[in-house]
Amino acid sequence: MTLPTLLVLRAMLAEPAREMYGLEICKAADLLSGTIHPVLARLERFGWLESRWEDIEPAEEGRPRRRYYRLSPEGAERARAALNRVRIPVPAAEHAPQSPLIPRLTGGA
Amino acid sequence: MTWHATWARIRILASALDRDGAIARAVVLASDRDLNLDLTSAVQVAGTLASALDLDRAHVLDQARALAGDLVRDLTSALDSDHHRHRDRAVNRAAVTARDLARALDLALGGVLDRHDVPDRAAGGDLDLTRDLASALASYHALLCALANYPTLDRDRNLAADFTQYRNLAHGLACCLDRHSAGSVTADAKGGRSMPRMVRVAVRLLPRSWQTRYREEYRAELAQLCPSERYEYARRVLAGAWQLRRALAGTECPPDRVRVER
Repeated sequence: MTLPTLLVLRAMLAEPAREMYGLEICKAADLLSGTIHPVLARLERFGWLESRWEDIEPAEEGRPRRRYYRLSPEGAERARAALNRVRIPVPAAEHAPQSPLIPRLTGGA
Repeated sequence: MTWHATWARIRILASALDRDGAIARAVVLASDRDLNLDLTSAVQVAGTLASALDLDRAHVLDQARALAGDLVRDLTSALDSDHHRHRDRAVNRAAVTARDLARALDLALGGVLDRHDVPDRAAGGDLDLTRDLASALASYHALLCALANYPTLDRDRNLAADFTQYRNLAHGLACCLDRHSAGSVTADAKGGRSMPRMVRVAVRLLPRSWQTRYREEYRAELAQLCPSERYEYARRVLAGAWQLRRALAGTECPPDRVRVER
């Protein structure tokens, strides 16, 4: 598991029930925009994340609909376990994570 | 096919100034299963070419507008000149400018037509611009031929009518380009800017069944970014395209297989 994956999980665990779109997750995880989709795709593929299209009419809103992501119940559990395993403090709900001490990680995407 | 052969082909295409073709070819090559380890390189080359093209596109209309202004001045100068020598010099300048302008228009037209592969982008503004550019391009090719033949024409013939016509053409084009420039600023402000080339290349690198989803997802994110952020976003999306493709293809291990370096 890579550092970006851990940062994404940690950011989403801050508010596990909340749906976030790509740019929002980037901001919460302190990652650069445009870098997050491989991580999200992989987490979604393994069932850790669920996603859906925003329920709006693009013509009325004047913008394209967003893709929203949320941790699945199983994904939240496994994310907590993964973060604990590498000794990253799991954030308390409703609070953004603060400068964690993250060991160097290798493997996975 | 080796990477060297691939690179040579891309270079030939690029040197032939067919950068759109080079990018398309790089994408096809990047999708070639036999290439394996060369895929990342192909993506990088496609990114470099796409980046150059995107930058060109941002300036090409400005360049065409500036050249049209130059051409108006050159033709006015030719028209106003009483001496053959001065007129010849002005005509030569106009011929060079017209050639550059024809090329800029060609690029601009190619860019506009290319944008139409994105659904819902075939907006009226683009179609108007396409029509105007195509018409201007045809006129300028005619102008170019006329200017090229100028030295062989009868010097005593009154060229005022021809030059007046050419100058009016150049002036009309300059106005047309100004009008479309103002239109594109308005479109940007509404977040309706077309998807950058690099992002489209990145989408085309994904498995076909996923392309629609990511095209829409990227478009939604681009709409939220300011113009200065879009280039970097597009560059990162393209850089991560192969990684995303692997993630979608499911060739990776589950995310909770964690190894910690000691």
